[in-house]
Amino acid sequence: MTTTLDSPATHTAARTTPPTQSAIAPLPRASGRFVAAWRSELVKLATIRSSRAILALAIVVGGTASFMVARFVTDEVITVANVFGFSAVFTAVFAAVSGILTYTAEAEHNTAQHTFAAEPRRSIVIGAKTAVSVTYTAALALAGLAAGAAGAALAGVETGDTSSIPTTIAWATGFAVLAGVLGLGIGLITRHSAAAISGVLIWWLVVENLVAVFAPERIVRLMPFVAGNGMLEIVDEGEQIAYERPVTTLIFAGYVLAALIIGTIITARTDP
Amino acid sequence: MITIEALTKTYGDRLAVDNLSFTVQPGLVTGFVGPNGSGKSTTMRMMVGLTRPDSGNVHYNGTPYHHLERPISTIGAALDASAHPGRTARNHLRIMCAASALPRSRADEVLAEVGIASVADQRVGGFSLGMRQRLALAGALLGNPETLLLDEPANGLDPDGIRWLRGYLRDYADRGGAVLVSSHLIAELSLFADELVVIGAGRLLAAASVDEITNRAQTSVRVDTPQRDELAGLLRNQGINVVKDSGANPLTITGTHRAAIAQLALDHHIRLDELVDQRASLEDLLVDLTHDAVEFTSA
Repeated sequence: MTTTLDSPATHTAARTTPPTQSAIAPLPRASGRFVAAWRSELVKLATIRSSRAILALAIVVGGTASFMVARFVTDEVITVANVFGFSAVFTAVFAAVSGILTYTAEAEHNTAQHTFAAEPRRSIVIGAKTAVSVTYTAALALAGLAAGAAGAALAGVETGDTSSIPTTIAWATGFAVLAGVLGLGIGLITRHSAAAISGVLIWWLVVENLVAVFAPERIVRLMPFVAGNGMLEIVDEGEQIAYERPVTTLIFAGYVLAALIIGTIITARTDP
Repeated sequence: MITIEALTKTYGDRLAVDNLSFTVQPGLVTGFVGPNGSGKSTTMRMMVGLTRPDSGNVHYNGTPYHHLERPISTIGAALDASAHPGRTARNHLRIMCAASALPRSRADEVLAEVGIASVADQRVGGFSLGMRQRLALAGALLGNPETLLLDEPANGLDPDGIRWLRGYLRDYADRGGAVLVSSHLIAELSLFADELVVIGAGRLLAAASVDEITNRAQTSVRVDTPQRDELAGLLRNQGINVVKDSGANPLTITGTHRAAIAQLALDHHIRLDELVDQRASLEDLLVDLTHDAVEFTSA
């Protein structure tokens, strides 16, 4: 590929404003700085392929999972209302990955220095990243649930009792949002995509399941993803491990808050 | 004006920047030079709040960086040519515009200003280093800042690009801007810098105008004559330092001037084939200055 750059003479005319006479309006204080950082994070999210890929995955995997369950599980009564929420487990995994990438992509491509040079108050940037992560993962959860409902409907099952649907949507969205913020916190701590993603997935899908085999129930129910999954109440008969939803949500939220606080402190104290 | 006062930074037991103080004046291009590992990049990162100094401070017209209303409009920094490879040049700059509440149109303006408007919608991953350097400079110009802080901006630029950059920075300073530019291309820097800040092992070795530093150069006189031994002996008898190789190379004489040597030769009927003043280049001077502070040397 041959790229032709403009000749120096072409852009001499563009330099009209002397450096000492800024023509740009002053930036508002405090809340204005947060809004500016939030907008910047939104543009980042919108201009990166991984965010679109994760959204597509959440839809495809959520729809397929519900379709498969509705189509092939025959030992219980399956309806759209009790199957569509299955997608939430996968969506939460994708939400955690997107949260991780929110910062690790910046750290790995050295763009965090542009971010922190433009807004030196790093807590404002992390607050903006959290707000964008919450928005994106909520959208991810809703898209996954909608795909789940569509998948179940495509499998040809009945709609079922719709009264539980709003509750399921609320808890599933809450789980995905918290998983996304947990991912952000872990990303801030590790600053490395591969390490953070593999660490979270191994802990979530392997370590906790192994520990659950031999550890006492009072310990197991305090583990982060056992608590997180408890928000969905997707368990077989007689396998209820987690506390009730409000309690298990608080436990999971505690881990999320701890990761975010530790990540914020590390980010504030170390060089990007 | 940027004022750097007693800046110090250590990494473990390694002193990266040691009590460094200097100023960067508006209307001037200040070259920031020193060998690899001398602390130039660490100093520049501390200047824009990316690295926390152990002690010391940096003020922009009396205001610390963290207290600037909109930092990007006070100081435009291009510390490396990094950008997310999956984003286009325009989107890379729009992110920076949004972060500082600048109008989106500024992205296109600065892309045109640095000469890469034609590749605005291409992904940065396909850019050459020179194109990424121009993109980094575009990012530094976004806020129409009073000061530019550039770390090795000529890396990867072709000769035409280097000439363009030189003219651009000279023009920027002439319009009242302050420019601090680090470079290891000392000869190149001497073509357009007004002031030089020289550091070695994190310490300030010199801060003066290019002319002042050049004038510090020890001058010598090169003399070629078929009567080398005779002339060398006469000069040494007068306490003058003579460097005389064993071969047939000309003599190098310091501590006197050309006319005195000519007179001495005439008085003793010594034929002179060559009599030339010699002055060390800026590069030689800076190499001498930083010689003791070089961390990495070839075998």
